[in-house]
Amino acid sequence: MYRHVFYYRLLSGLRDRETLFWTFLFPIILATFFNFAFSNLNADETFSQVPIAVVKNNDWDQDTTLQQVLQELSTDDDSLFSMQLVSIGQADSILLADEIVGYLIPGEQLEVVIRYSGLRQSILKVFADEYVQTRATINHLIKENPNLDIRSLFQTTVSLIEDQPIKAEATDNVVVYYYALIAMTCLYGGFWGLREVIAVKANLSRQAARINLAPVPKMKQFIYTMSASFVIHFVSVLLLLLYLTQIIGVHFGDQILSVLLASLVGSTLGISIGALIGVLGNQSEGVKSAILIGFSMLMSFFSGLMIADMKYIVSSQAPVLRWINPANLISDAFYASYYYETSTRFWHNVVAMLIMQLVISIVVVSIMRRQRYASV
Amino acid sequence: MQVFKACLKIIKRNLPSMMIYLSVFLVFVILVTLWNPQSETEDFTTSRPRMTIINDDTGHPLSEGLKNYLYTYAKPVELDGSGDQILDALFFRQIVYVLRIPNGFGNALANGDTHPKLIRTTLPDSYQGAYSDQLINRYLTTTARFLNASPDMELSTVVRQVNQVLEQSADVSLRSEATGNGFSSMIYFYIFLAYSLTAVMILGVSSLMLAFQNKDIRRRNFSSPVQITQYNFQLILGNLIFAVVTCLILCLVSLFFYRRFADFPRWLLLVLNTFVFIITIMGLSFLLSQFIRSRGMQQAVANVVSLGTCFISGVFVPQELLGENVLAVASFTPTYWYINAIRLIQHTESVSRSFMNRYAVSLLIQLSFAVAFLVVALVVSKQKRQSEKQ
Repeated sequence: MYRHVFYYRLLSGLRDRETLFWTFLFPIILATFFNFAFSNLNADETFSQVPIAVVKNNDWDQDTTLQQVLQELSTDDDSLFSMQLVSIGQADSILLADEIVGYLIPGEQLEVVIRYSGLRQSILKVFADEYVQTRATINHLIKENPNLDIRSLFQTTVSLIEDQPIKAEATDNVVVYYYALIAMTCLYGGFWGLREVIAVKANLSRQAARINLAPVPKMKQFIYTMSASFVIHFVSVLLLLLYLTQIIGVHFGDQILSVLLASLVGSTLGISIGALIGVLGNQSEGVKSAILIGFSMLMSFFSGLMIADMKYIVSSQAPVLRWINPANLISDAFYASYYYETSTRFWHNVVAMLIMQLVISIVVVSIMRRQRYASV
Repeated sequence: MQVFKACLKIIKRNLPSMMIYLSVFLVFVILVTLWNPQSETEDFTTSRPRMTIINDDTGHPLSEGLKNYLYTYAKPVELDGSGDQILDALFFRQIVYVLRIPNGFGNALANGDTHPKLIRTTLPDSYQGAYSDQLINRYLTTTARFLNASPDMELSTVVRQVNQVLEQSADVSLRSEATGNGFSSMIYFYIFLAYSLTAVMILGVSSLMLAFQNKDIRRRNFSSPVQITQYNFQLILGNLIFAVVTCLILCLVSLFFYRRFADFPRWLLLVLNTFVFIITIMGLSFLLSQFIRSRGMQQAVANVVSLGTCFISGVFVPQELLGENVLAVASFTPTYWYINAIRLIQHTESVSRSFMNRYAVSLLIQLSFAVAFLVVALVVSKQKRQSEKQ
């Protein structure tokens, strides 16, 4: 009996091209678009050398200190700047061609010329400031203390910073989009849940009316068909995971089991939410699908599908929402196993999902089991 | 004009679902622009690292001095010290640098000890982290030099003098072609418009065409005395009316919500661009609807095409953040040229000749897309008609 129902429900699911499109293909298409759009997003964040130029004028020729300092800062490929000496006309033309981020004009008042504002420009400005300030320090100290041995004093540099690193290589915040996408796919599993409810609720489809006449308990029938749907949907989530890791190259950390567990729990949660929408009320299939899409999109939005920062805003401004948004629980489980060193946060999310799953199942079962139809 | 009248009737019937799409878009874009009106070309001084400082050495003048100094050059973000909150904030780039000043640090600095040290957490290999390090080292080094030079000076005097020295700065001059022409919510509105216009047009036009594609209705229509050219002309006219009305509504809404954008000529340029774009998208929708057979397929095509073109053309992610290859592909979509024209409008200072030339090129490319789409659509529909006859 089980095998029969399971097999034919599986077959029927695999022939439902529309649902297959939304749960298999659509997430993969969306992931591809994300990849196009986000591949360069954090490119300007990592540190690389700042190309600059210095105008070679009289002040430069006389200022040996500036020469020395700049030379030290642009010795090789690892140093802060790569520097070239140019005339003022040249400086302007290479600046406008974006070959350098800015140039310095040595003089009584050191001048920085840039084209845009940005972090790399700030680094040049910070250097120039530092130089001006060091010069001011010398002038200030000599005025008070004419006998001071400046040379020995400027041997003192202080470095009193100790690094407390965060888990290395795990700070790429673009993953939030992909995690939210997985969450959306899990919630789209609701289409399968909804489909199965419609297939057993006699007032929603003709097929269900026929099934209700069969001498098999409805609950049993429902569990059998749900398991077929679960198999299809879990495979779609796994395919998405495979696509994300192997083709797009999204990182999930090294906890493979956690990732699988989160996908499994998320997938069942998504299907149950669809079932819940199915059993509540007697709206038509179209309306129920619309509710499901709206719900999935809204929840995914709050877990960072469209704007990654939304996830942060929600969890810092409205922590309660964080725990009742199923999409956020799913994406947060991935986020926790990627970014956090301890697994506490991951388990909190999984337990929250399981509790939600339990509550939904109780509601679905208690509504379904008492339903009788006066005339089918 | 029977065909045209039928078009209007179908549009009227589909109005509710179109309105849902449009109003969701309007609510979303208005919320986002009111919420997040950040400037694209930032003022030079605002490129400051977002930093959280936890001072466990309160009361010591040197530690307080360090904190105050950093907070004038970095953007202070107050967070309490709990682990998750700081980790999350770092991940989402709400802060880039966390500095903990340990108890006894001020004394150690005053005495020239190297312990305890400051503890920092930052994103690995980031500019902002390197910049913050530089700020801190500068302050500490200058302070140490002052202390070495005059060991007997009062600490508060040291802090004051250090601050005086560190107030000095180099002059900055900005060689930029376009300045002072930052972001406006209006621009944002029109950029996002590309997405909802594409979705709404594909849905609207294909609903219209679905009704006419029905086999029996087609056969009946073709056996009527209305000429095929007349028939197609009226169909396109019906679609066109739909496009123009949608365009007008949205443009008027933008004028209403963003009145502050007082620059009327530029608004007109935006409207003209939108008008051309909607004609092009109408052509695209007309072409796509030759292939759309069912309601389910309609949704799938509308979603994939609208999201796809918008993602690669710089609607959701600004064009400068997209890779060169992506942009090269995107330039084969009308959306890319629509966004291109908007960005020209955004960044121009005056309506100069060279600007008008580049703007006109963007519009002409869109129009040629429109013509291409329409021609292909008509060819496809002709072929379908002929294959049915046999």
